[in-house]
Amino acid sequence: MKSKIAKVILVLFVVCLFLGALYGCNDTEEKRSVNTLVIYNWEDYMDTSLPELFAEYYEAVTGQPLEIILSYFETNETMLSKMLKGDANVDLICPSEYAIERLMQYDLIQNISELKASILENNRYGVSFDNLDNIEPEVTDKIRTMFNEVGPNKQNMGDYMIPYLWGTLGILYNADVVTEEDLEYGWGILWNECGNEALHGKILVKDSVRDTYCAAVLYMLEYGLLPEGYENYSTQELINCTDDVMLKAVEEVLTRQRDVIAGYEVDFGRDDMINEIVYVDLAWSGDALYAIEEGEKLGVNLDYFVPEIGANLWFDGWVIPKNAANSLAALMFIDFLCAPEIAILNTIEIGYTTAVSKELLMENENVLAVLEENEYDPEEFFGDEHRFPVVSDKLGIMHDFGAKNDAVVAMWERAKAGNGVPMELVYVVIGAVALFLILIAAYFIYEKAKLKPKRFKFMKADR
Amino acid sequence: MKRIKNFKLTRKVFSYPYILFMLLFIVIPLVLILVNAFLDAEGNLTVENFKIFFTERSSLIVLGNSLLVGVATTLICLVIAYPVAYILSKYNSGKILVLLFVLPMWVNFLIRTLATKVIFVALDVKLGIGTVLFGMVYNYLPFMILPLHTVLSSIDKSYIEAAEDLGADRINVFVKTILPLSVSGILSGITMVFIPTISTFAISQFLSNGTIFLFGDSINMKFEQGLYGVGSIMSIVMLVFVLISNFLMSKFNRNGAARGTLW
Repeated sequence: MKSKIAKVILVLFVVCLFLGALYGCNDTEEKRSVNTLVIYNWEDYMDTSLPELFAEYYEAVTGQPLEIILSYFETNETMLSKMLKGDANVDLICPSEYAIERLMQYDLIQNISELKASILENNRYGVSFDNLDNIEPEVTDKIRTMFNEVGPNKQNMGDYMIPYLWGTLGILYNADVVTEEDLEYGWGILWNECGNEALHGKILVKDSVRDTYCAAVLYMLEYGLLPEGYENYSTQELINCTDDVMLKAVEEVLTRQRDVIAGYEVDFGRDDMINEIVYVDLAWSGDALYAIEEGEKLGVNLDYFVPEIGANLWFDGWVIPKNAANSLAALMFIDFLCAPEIAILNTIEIGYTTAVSKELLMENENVLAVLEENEYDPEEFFGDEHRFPVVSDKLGIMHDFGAKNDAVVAMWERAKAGNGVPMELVYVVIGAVALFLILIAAYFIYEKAKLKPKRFKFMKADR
Repeated sequence: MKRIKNFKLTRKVFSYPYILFMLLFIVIPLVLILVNAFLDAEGNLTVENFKIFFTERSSLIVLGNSLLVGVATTLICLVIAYPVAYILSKYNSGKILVLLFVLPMWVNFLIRTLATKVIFVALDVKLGIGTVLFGMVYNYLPFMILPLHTVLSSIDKSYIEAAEDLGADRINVFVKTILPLSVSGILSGITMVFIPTISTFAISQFLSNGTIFLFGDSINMKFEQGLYGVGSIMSIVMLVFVLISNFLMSKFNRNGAARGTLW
C-alpha cells in the first residue's frame, strides 16, 4: 500500500516537474528583453529585406540592437482566435479591416494616436513619427467615415490602425481565352454566364467566405437575381447584408456555381493562372498584379478587371496589441514602413498597393529613382487603376459580420458540401460490392458444376 | 526512508513513462475536447452545439459522404491488396517486393499528394471524386497489404497440403483453408484503412481543389473559423465511429477465429 502511494507521489512529482518546465518556457518568452520586436503578419506580405533595414535604423536611433521575430498567420480567423485566447505575444499585427473591428470590440488593441502622443511627450531618443501622416487621405477618410463607432467605447478605427496595403477584389483572367465580350458579363464570368466553352471547369474562386459572398451578391445584383426588396440597395449595403433571405439566395447561387468551377483556393490561384491550369480566378488586386507581371515573363497574357457594377474595397492595417512588450519599436516600424522610399520598395516587391499617398510618392525623387531601377515607367505605374484604385461609391467596404458570422459560415459550408452524395461514389461502392457478390456466386456455380459431372461419371461406371 | 526502501525497480516501473505520455497527450486532449463540446463562444455551459450539428442537413451529408468514401477506399484497397499479398506470400522474394510497396510511405504523404495532383493536372484529368479516391487508395494501400502479407505468409503450409491430400481442388483450398486463416489480416487491414480515411482532410482538399468536402475538412473549417464547440462535437462523433468500427472488428475477429477452427 505504502509503496503504491510512493509511486503515485513520484508520478505526480514528475508531472509537476514537466508542467513546470513547460510553464518556464512560457515565462521566458514573456519576459523577453525590451529590444525584440515580434511582427505577426501574412506570409509574403512584406519585402524580406525590410526587417534588416529597420534593425539598422533602430540601432542608429536608439543605440540598441534589435532582434526582429517574424511570425505568420494564414487567415484573419486564425489570428483572431489566437488573440482572443491570449496566446499571441506579439508587438505588431497586420489584419484586415473587419478583423481590426473585431479586435476593437474585444478591446485588445492600443489607441495608436494616444500611444504616439505619450511617446512624443517623453521622447528619450528624439524620434519623430512624421511618416505616419503620409497616408493617402482618401484611405484615411474612408476608414474614418466607415468605421467611426467601433467597439463598446464607440471609437474611431482611424485612431487604432495605420493603413498598410489596400486594394480591390476583382477577376484575374487569361486574356487569350477570355474575350472582350466575355468581360461584359462582369461577375457572371465566375458563373460562366458568357457560355465560353473553354472556361468550363477552369474557374477558381476564393476558399474564403467573405470574398465569395461578395462576388455572389454582386453577381445577383448584375443578373437581377436578388430577392425581392433588395433591388435598390447600394453596393455598400448589399455586401454587408446577411439577412436570412439573402443568405438563402447566396447559397443557391454558390451551389449552382459548383458545376462550372475548378475549385476553391486561397494560395495557389495565382500560380495556376500563370501556369495556365485555369483561366479565371477571383483575386485580390495585389495578387493579380503580381501574377500579371510573372505571366509577362513567361509569355502568358493575364489581365485583371473590376466589374463595373461594383466591387469590394479592402484595407489591411497595422495595429499594436495591448499586451505588446515593445510599443516603441512597433510604432517606429510602422513609421519606417510609411516612408515613401520604403513603401515603394515594398509595393514593387509584393505587388500590393501601399497606403502611402500617391501624390507624395510621385513627388519624391528617391521613389522615382527606385522605379527607374526596377524598369517601371512612373506615369504608367501611378496611372494604373488596378494598382491605385479610384475610390467611388461603387466600391463597398465589408464590415465584420458580427453575430451573423456563424450563420454565414454555416451557409458557406452547405454551399461547399453540395446538395448530396456524388453519384460516382455510390457507383464505385455498388461496383465493389457487386464484384464480391459475383465472386461468391461464381464459387457456388463452380461447386455445383463440379458435382454434376462427378455424379454422371459415377452412374456411368456403375452401369 | 522506509518509503524509498519499499520502492522496487519492478517491471511495472518501466511502464510509467508511457502512462505519463498517454495522460499528457491522449487523455488530457480528449478531456479538453469533451469540455469544449459543452461550451459556447462565451464559455457558458450549453448543449446548443449538439443541436447545431445534428439539425444541420449539410453536416450529415458531409458525414455520409465521408463514410461512403471510407467504404469505397477500403473495398478498392482490399480488392487490389489481397491478390498482391497472396501472390507475394508464395515467393521468398516477396518480402523485397512488399518493401517496394511500402517504400513510398517513407516520403511524406503531403508531398506525395501534391505530386499526384501535379501529375493529374499535367494529364488534364478533371479533379474530383475520382482523383480523391485514387489519392486515398494510393495512400492507404500499404496499410492493407502489410497485415495481409504478414498473415498470409505465416500460414502453415501443412494445412494446405492436408487440404490437398483430402481431395480439395485449388479453389476449395483457397476458399476453405487460406481465406478463413487470413480473416484476421483482412480485418486489421480494414481497420487500418477505414478509420484514417473517414478523417482525412488534406487529400480531399488537394486532389479536388476543395470541391469534395469531407468530414475532416469540415472539422478543420470549424476550428479555423473559431467554432470550437461544434468542431469538438464533430471530433467526438468521429471518435464514436472509430470506436464502433474497432468494436465491430474485434467482434468479427473473434467469431472468425472460432469459425476458422471449426472449419
